[in-house]
Amino acid sequence: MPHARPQFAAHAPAGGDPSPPRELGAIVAQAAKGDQAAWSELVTRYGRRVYAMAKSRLRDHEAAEDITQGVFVTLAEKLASQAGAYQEVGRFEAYLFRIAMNRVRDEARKRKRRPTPLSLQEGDTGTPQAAEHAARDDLDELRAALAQLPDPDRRVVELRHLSQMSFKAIADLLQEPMGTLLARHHRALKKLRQVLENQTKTNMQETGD
Amino acid sequence: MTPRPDQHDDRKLELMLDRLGERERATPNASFEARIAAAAADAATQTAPRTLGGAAWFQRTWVRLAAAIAIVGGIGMATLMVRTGNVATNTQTIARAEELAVELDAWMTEMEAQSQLGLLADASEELELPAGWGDLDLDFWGDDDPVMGSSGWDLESF
Repeated sequence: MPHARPQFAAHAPAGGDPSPPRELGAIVAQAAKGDQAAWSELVTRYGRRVYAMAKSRLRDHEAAEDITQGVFVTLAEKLASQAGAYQEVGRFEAYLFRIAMNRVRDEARKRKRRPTPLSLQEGDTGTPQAAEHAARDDLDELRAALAQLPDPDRRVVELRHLSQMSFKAIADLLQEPMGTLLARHHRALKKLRQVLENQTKTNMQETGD
Repeated sequence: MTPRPDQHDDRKLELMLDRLGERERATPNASFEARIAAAAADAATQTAPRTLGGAAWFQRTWVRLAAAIAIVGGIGMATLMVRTGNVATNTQTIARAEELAVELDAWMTEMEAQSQLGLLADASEELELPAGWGDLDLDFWGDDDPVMGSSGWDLESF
Protein backbone atom coordinates (compact mmCIF):
# COMPACT_ATOMS: atom_id res chain seq x y z
CA MET A 1 0.00 0.00 0.00
CA PRO A 2 1.59 3.28 -0.98
CA HIS A 3 2.07 5.74 1.88
CA ALA A 4 1.31 9.43 1.43
CA ARG A 5 4.21 10.65 3.59
CA PRO A 6 7.74 9.40 4.06
CA GLN A 7 8.56 7.15 7.02
CA PHE A 8 10.94 8.89 9.35
CA ALA A 9 13.70 7.36 11.45
CA ALA A 10 12.71 6.86 15.08
CA HIS A 11 15.84 8.35 16.69
CA ALA A 12 18.40 10.96 15.89
CA PRO A 13 21.74 9.38 14.96
CA ALA A 14 24.44 9.78 17.60
CA GLY A 15 27.68 11.67 17.00
CA GLY A 16 26.49 13.98 14.26
CA ASP A 17 23.96 14.06 11.50
CA PRO A 18 24.70 11.54 8.77
CA SER A 19 21.12 11.70 7.46
CA PRO A 20 21.06 11.17 3.73
CA PRO A 21 20.15 14.49 2.08
CA ARG A 22 17.20 12.91 0.29
CA GLU A 23 15.61 11.66 3.48
CA LEU A 24 16.22 14.90 5.32
CA GLY A 25 14.98 16.81 2.28
CA ALA A 26 11.70 14.91 2.41
CA ILE A 27 11.27 15.66 6.11
CA VAL A 28 12.03 19.34 5.62
CA ALA A 29 9.63 19.55 2.67
CA GLN A 30 6.84 18.12 4.80
CA ALA A 31 7.77 20.38 7.70
CA ALA A 32 7.57 23.43 5.44
CA LYS A 33 3.90 22.61 4.89
CA GLY A 34 3.24 22.50 8.63
CA ASP A 35 3.29 18.73 9.05
CA GLN A 36 3.35 18.03 12.80
CA ALA A 37 5.07 14.64 12.46
CA ALA A 38 7.85 16.14 10.36
CA TRP A 39 8.45 18.86 12.95
CA SER A 40 8.47 16.28 15.72
CA GLU A 41 11.17 14.42 13.84
CA LEU A 42 13.27 17.54 13.27
CA VAL A 43 12.98 18.60 16.90
CA THR A 44 13.90 15.09 18.04
CA ARG A 45 17.02 15.17 15.88
CA TYR A 46 18.19 18.70 16.58
CA GLY A 47 16.26 20.21 19.47
CA ARG A 48 18.40 19.10 22.39
CA ARG A 49 21.58 19.82 20.49
CA VAL A 50 20.49 23.42 20.00
CA TYR A 51 19.37 23.56 23.61
CA ALA A 52 22.75 22.31 24.86
CA MET A 53 24.61 25.00 22.93
CA ALA A 54 22.34 27.74 24.27
CA LYS A 55 22.54 26.47 27.84
CA SER A 56 26.31 26.14 27.75
CA ARG A 57 26.58 29.82 26.85
CA LEU A 58 23.81 31.31 28.92
CA ARG A 59 23.81 29.00 31.95
CA ASP A 60 20.04 29.38 32.14
CA HIS A 61 17.87 26.43 31.19
CA GLU A 62 14.69 28.49 30.79
CA ALA A 63 16.39 30.93 28.45
CA ALA A 64 17.90 28.00 26.58
CA GLU A 65 14.45 26.48 26.07
CA ASP A 66 13.00 29.77 24.88
CA ILE A 67 15.83 30.25 22.45
CA THR A 68 15.46 26.72 21.14
CA GLN A 69 11.78 27.27 20.51
CA GLY A 70 12.51 30.60 18.86
CA VAL A 71 15.06 28.98 16.58
CA PHE A 72 12.61 26.35 15.34
CA VAL A 73 9.83 28.87 14.88
CA THR A 74 12.16 31.05 12.82
CA LEU A 75 13.19 28.02 10.81
CA ALA A 76 9.52 27.15 10.21
CA GLU A 77 8.74 30.66 8.98
CA LYS A 78 11.72 30.69 6.63
CA LEU A 79 10.94 27.27 5.17
CA ALA A 80 7.23 27.99 4.76
CA SER A 81 7.85 31.34 3.09
CA GLN A 82 10.00 29.69 0.41
CA ALA A 83 6.95 27.80 -0.78
CA GLY A 84 8.68 24.50 -1.42
CA ALA A 85 11.75 26.04 -3.02
CA TYR A 86 14.13 24.72 -0.33
CA GLN A 87 16.57 22.16 -1.70
CA GLU A 88 18.43 20.00 0.80
CA VAL A 89 22.09 19.81 -0.21
CA GLY A 90 23.58 18.72 3.09
CA ARG A 91 23.63 22.16 4.71
CA PHE A 92 20.49 22.05 6.80
CA GLU A 93 22.38 21.52 10.04
CA ALA A 94 24.70 24.46 9.39
CA TYR A 95 21.67 26.59 8.50
CA LEU A 96 19.85 25.65 11.70
CA PHE A 97 22.82 26.24 13.96
CA ARG A 98 23.58 29.56 12.32
CA ILE A 99 20.14 30.73 13.41
CA ALA A 100 20.80 29.32 16.89
CA MET A 101 24.21 30.96 17.25
CA ASN A 102 22.80 34.33 16.28
CA ARG A 103 20.03 34.03 18.82
CA VAL A 104 22.39 32.97 21.59
CA ARG A 105 24.81 35.77 20.74
CA ASP A 106 22.01 38.37 20.86
CA GLU A 107 20.76 37.07 24.20
CA ALA A 108 24.29 36.99 25.65
CA ARG A 109 24.77 40.64 24.62
CA LYS A 110 21.50 41.63 26.28
CA ARG A 111 22.57 39.90 29.48
CA LYS A 112 25.91 41.67 29.49
CA ARG A 113 24.09 45.00 29.47
CA ARG A 114 21.95 44.12 32.46
CA PRO A 115 23.21 42.79 35.82
CA THR A 116 22.59 39.10 36.33
CA PRO A 117 21.15 38.03 39.69
CA LEU A 118 23.58 35.95 41.74
CA SER A 119 21.21 32.99 41.64
CA LEU A 120 21.64 32.74 37.90
CA GLN A 121 25.36 33.24 37.71
CA GLU A 122 26.44 29.79 38.75
CA GLY A 123 25.16 26.47 37.51
CA ASP A 124 21.64 25.52 36.47
CA THR A 125 18.64 27.36 37.78
CA GLY A 126 16.76 25.26 40.26
CA THR A 127 16.62 22.13 38.15
CA PRO A 128 16.29 18.69 39.71
CA GLN A 129 19.67 17.83 38.21
CA ALA A 130 21.26 20.80 39.99
CA ALA A 131 19.83 19.61 43.29
CA GLU A 132 21.19 16.10 42.73
CA HIS A 133 24.64 17.40 41.87
CA ALA A 134 25.07 19.79 44.75
CA ALA A 135 28.79 18.97 45.11
CA ARG A 136 31.05 19.95 42.25
CA ASP A 137 31.97 16.87 40.28
CA ASP A 138 34.43 16.38 37.49
CA LEU A 139 31.91 17.47 34.86
CA ASP A 140 31.28 20.71 36.72
CA GLU A 141 35.02 21.30 36.81
CA LEU A 142 35.18 20.57 33.09
CA ARG A 143 32.35 22.97 32.36
CA ALA A 144 34.03 25.71 34.39
CA ALA A 145 37.30 25.06 32.55
CA LEU A 146 35.49 25.22 29.19
CA ALA A 147 34.15 28.67 30.08
CA GLN A 148 37.72 29.90 30.49
CA LEU A 149 38.78 29.06 26.95
CA PRO A 150 39.05 31.78 24.29
CA ASP A 151 35.80 32.11 22.40
CA PRO A 152 36.86 30.49 19.08
CA ASP A 153 38.29 27.44 20.88
CA ARG A 154 35.30 27.14 23.17
CA ARG A 155 32.91 27.33 20.21
CA VAL A 156 34.54 24.42 18.40
CA VAL A 157 34.45 22.25 21.51
CA GLU A 158 30.81 23.10 22.26
CA LEU A 159 29.65 22.45 18.71
CA ARG A 160 31.57 19.20 18.57
CA HIS A 161 30.78 17.68 21.94
CA LEU A 162 27.66 19.41 23.24
CA SER A 163 25.83 19.88 19.94
CA GLN A 164 27.27 16.70 18.38
CA MET A 165 28.21 18.29 15.10
CA SER A 166 30.72 16.73 12.72
CA PHE A 167 33.81 18.75 11.84
CA LYS A 168 32.50 19.03 8.30
CA ALA A 169 29.24 20.57 9.54
CA ILE A 170 31.17 22.89 11.85
CA ALA A 171 33.35 23.98 8.92
CA ASP A 172 30.18 24.72 6.94
CA LEU A 173 28.68 26.66 9.80
CA LEU A 174 31.74 28.73 10.67
CA GLN A 175 32.91 29.05 7.05
CA GLU A 176 36.39 27.89 7.98
CA PRO A 177 38.60 25.14 6.58
CA MET A 178 38.28 21.80 8.31
CA GLY A 179 42.04 21.63 8.91
CA THR A 180 41.86 24.89 10.86
CA LEU A 181 39.06 23.54 12.99
CA LEU A 182 40.84 20.29 13.72
CA ALA A 183 43.94 22.20 14.82
CA ARG A 184 41.85 24.53 16.94
CA HIS A 185 40.07 21.60 18.57
CA HIS A 186 43.37 19.95 19.41
CA ARG A 187 44.70 23.22 20.88
CA ALA A 188 41.51 23.65 22.90
CA LEU A 189 41.88 20.21 24.45
CA LYS A 190 45.43 21.04 25.43
CA LYS A 191 44.32 24.26 27.11
CA LEU A 192 41.49 22.48 28.87
CA ARG A 193 43.92 19.94 30.32
CA GLN A 194 46.10 22.76 31.55
CA VAL A 195 43.19 24.58 33.20
CA LEU A 196 42.01 21.37 34.83
CA GLU A 197 45.49 20.60 36.12
CA ASN A 198 45.77 24.10 37.58
CA GLN A 199 42.36 23.72 39.15
CA THR A 200 43.32 20.38 40.66
CA LYS A 201 46.49 21.88 42.16
CA THR A 202 44.50 24.77 43.60
CA ASN A 203 41.97 22.36 45.13
CA MET A 204 44.73 20.27 46.66
CA GLN A 205 46.34 23.35 48.14
CA GLU A 206 43.02 24.46 49.61
CA THR A 207 42.27 21.10 51.16
CA GLY A 208 45.81 20.83 52.42
CA ASP A 209 45.59 24.13 54.32
CA MET B 1 51.74 1.95 17.08
CA THR B 2 51.77 3.17 20.65
CA PRO B 3 49.69 6.30 21.11
CA ARG B 4 51.51 9.32 22.46
CA PRO B 5 50.63 10.33 26.01
CA ASP B 6 48.86 13.48 24.84
CA GLN B 7 46.78 11.46 22.39
CA HIS B 8 45.70 9.21 25.24
CA ASP B 9 44.91 12.27 27.33
CA ASP B 10 43.04 13.85 24.42
CA ARG B 11 40.86 10.78 24.09
CA LYS B 12 40.05 10.73 27.79
CA LEU B 13 39.20 14.39 27.72
CA GLU B 14 37.00 13.94 24.65
CA LEU B 15 35.06 11.19 26.38
CA MET B 16 34.56 13.48 29.35
CA LEU B 17 33.35 16.22 27.04
CA ASP B 18 30.90 13.77 25.44
CA ARG B 19 29.54 12.98 28.89
CA LEU B 20 29.24 16.69 29.62
CA GLY B 21 27.37 17.09 26.34
CA GLU B 22 24.98 14.31 27.29
CA ARG B 23 24.25 16.07 30.57
CA GLU B 24 23.83 19.49 28.90
CA ARG B 25 21.36 18.04 26.39
CA ALA B 26 19.08 16.75 29.13
CA THR B 27 16.24 19.12 29.89
CA PRO B 28 14.08 19.11 32.99
CA ASN B 29 11.01 19.80 30.92
CA ALA B 30 9.32 16.59 29.79
CA SER B 31 7.17 18.34 27.20
CA PHE B 32 10.10 20.32 25.77
CA GLU B 33 10.18 18.64 22.38
CA ALA B 34 6.43 18.36 21.94
CA ARG B 35 5.91 22.02 22.73
CA ILE B 36 8.60 23.17 20.30
CA ALA B 37 7.37 20.90 17.50
CA ALA B 38 3.82 22.21 17.93
CA ALA B 39 5.00 25.82 17.89
CA ALA B 40 7.06 25.24 14.75
CA ALA B 41 4.26 23.42 12.91
CA ASP B 42 1.88 26.23 13.79
CA ALA B 43 4.35 28.86 12.58
CA ALA B 44 4.81 27.02 9.27
CA THR B 45 1.04 26.83 8.77
CA GLN B 46 0.59 30.52 9.53
CA THR B 47 3.39 31.54 7.17
CA ALA B 48 2.36 29.33 4.26
CA PRO B 49 1.96 31.53 1.17
CA ARG B 50 -1.49 32.14 -0.30
CA THR B 51 -2.07 30.30 -3.51
CA LEU B 52 -3.96 31.04 -6.65
CA GLY B 53 -5.23 28.08 -8.61
CA GLY B 54 -3.38 25.79 -6.22
CA ALA B 55 0.01 27.31 -7.02
CA ALA B 56 1.97 29.70 -4.83
CA TRP B 57 3.03 31.48 -7.98
CA PHE B 58 3.36 34.92 -6.52
CA GLN B 59 5.87 33.68 -3.99
CA ARG B 60 8.30 32.93 -6.73
CA THR B 61 11.06 35.48 -6.78
CA TRP B 62 11.16 35.76 -10.53
CA VAL B 63 7.43 36.53 -10.72
CA ARG B 64 7.78 39.28 -8.14
CA LEU B 65 10.77 40.68 -10.00
CA ALA B 66 8.92 40.70 -13.31
CA ALA B 67 5.92 42.41 -11.73
CA ALA B 68 8.13 45.05 -10.12
CA ILE B 69 9.86 45.78 -13.43
CA ALA B 70 6.51 46.05 -15.22
CA ILE B 71 5.11 48.46 -12.65
CA VAL B 72 8.19 50.65 -12.49
CA GLY B 73 8.53 50.60 -16.26
CA GLY B 74 4.88 51.53 -16.73
CA ILE B 75 5.12 54.42 -14.32
CA GLY B 76 8.33 55.57 -15.95
CA MET B 77 6.82 55.50 -19.45
CA ALA B 78 3.74 57.38 -18.33
CA THR B 79 5.83 60.02 -16.62
CA LEU B 80 8.03 60.42 -19.65
CA MET B 81 5.05 60.87 -21.98
CA VAL B 82 3.48 63.49 -19.78
CA ARG B 83 6.71 65.39 -19.30
CA THR B 84 7.54 65.28 -23.03
CA GLY B 85 4.15 66.77 -23.87
CA ASN B 86 4.51 69.45 -21.19
CA VAL B 87 7.98 70.44 -22.32
CA ALA B 88 6.74 71.34 -25.80
CA THR B 89 3.76 73.21 -24.37
CA ASN B 90 5.81 74.99 -21.74
CA THR B 91 8.37 76.15 -24.27
CA GLN B 92 5.70 77.87 -26.32
CA THR B 93 4.10 79.30 -23.23
CA ILE B 94 7.36 80.65 -21.90
CA ALA B 95 8.24 82.28 -25.23
CA ARG B 96 4.81 83.89 -25.48
CA ALA B 97 5.05 85.06 -21.88
CA GLU B 98 8.37 86.70 -22.59
CA GLU B 99 6.90 88.51 -25.60
CA LEU B 100 3.97 89.67 -23.56
CA ALA B 101 6.26 90.86 -20.77
CA VAL B 102 8.26 93.00 -23.16
CA GLU B 103 5.06 94.46 -24.63
CA LEU B 104 3.73 95.10 -21.17
CA ASP B 105 6.90 96.86 -20.08
CA ALA B 106 6.75 99.08 -23.13
CA TRP B 107 3.09 99.87 -22.54
CA MET B 108 3.66 100.63 -18.87
CA THR B 109 6.51 102.93 -19.65
CA GLU B 110 4.37 104.78 -22.14
CA MET B 111 1.48 104.96 -19.73
CA GLU B 112 3.67 106.30 -16.97
CA ALA B 113 5.12 108.85 -19.30
CA GLN B 114 1.67 109.92 -20.42
CA SER B 115 0.58 110.17 -16.83
CA GLN B 116 3.58 112.28 -15.90
CA LEU B 117 2.97 114.56 -18.87
CA GLY B 118 -0.59 114.95 -17.86
CA LEU B 119 0.36 115.91 -14.33
CA LEU B 120 2.88 118.39 -15.54
CA ALA B 121 0.42 119.91 -17.91
CA ASP B 122 -2.07 120.34 -15.08
CA ALA B 123 0.65 121.82 -12.95
CA SER B 124 1.74 124.23 -15.66
CA GLU B 125 -1.84 125.46 -16.09
CA GLU B 126 -2.13 126.11 -12.40
CA LEU B 127 1.19 127.80 -12.25
CA GLU B 128 0.53 129.67 -15.50
CA LEU B 129 3.81 128.50 -16.85
CA PRO B 130 4.86 129.46 -20.34
CA ALA B 131 3.68 127.27 -23.21
CA GLY B 132 5.95 124.41 -24.03
CA TRP B 133 6.93 123.93 -20.49
CA GLY B 134 4.84 120.80 -20.21
CA ASP B 135 6.41 119.26 -23.29
CA LEU B 136 8.98 117.45 -21.50
CA ASP B 137 11.70 115.63 -23.20
CA LEU B 138 11.59 112.19 -21.80
CA ASP B 139 15.26 111.96 -22.30
CA PHE B 140 15.63 114.64 -19.63
CA TRP B 141 15.18 112.09 -17.02
CA GLY B 142 18.02 109.98 -18.36
CA ASP B 143 18.97 106.79 -16.68
CA ASP B 144 19.48 108.29 -13.28
CA ASP B 145 16.93 108.62 -10.68
CA PRO B 146 15.10 111.90 -11.52
CA VAL B 147 14.33 112.51 -7.90
CA MET B 148 17.87 113.09 -6.79
CA GLY B 149 20.14 115.30 -8.81
CA SER B 150 23.62 116.36 -8.04
CA SER B 151 22.39 119.16 -5.92
CA GLY B 152 19.71 117.15 -4.31
CA TRP B 153 15.98 117.70 -4.73
CA ASP B 154 14.33 120.05 -2.43
CA LEU B 155 10.60 119.52 -2.52
CA GLU B 156 10.00 122.69 -0.56
CA SER B 157 11.40 124.81 -3.35
CA PHE B 158 9.28 123.26 -6.08
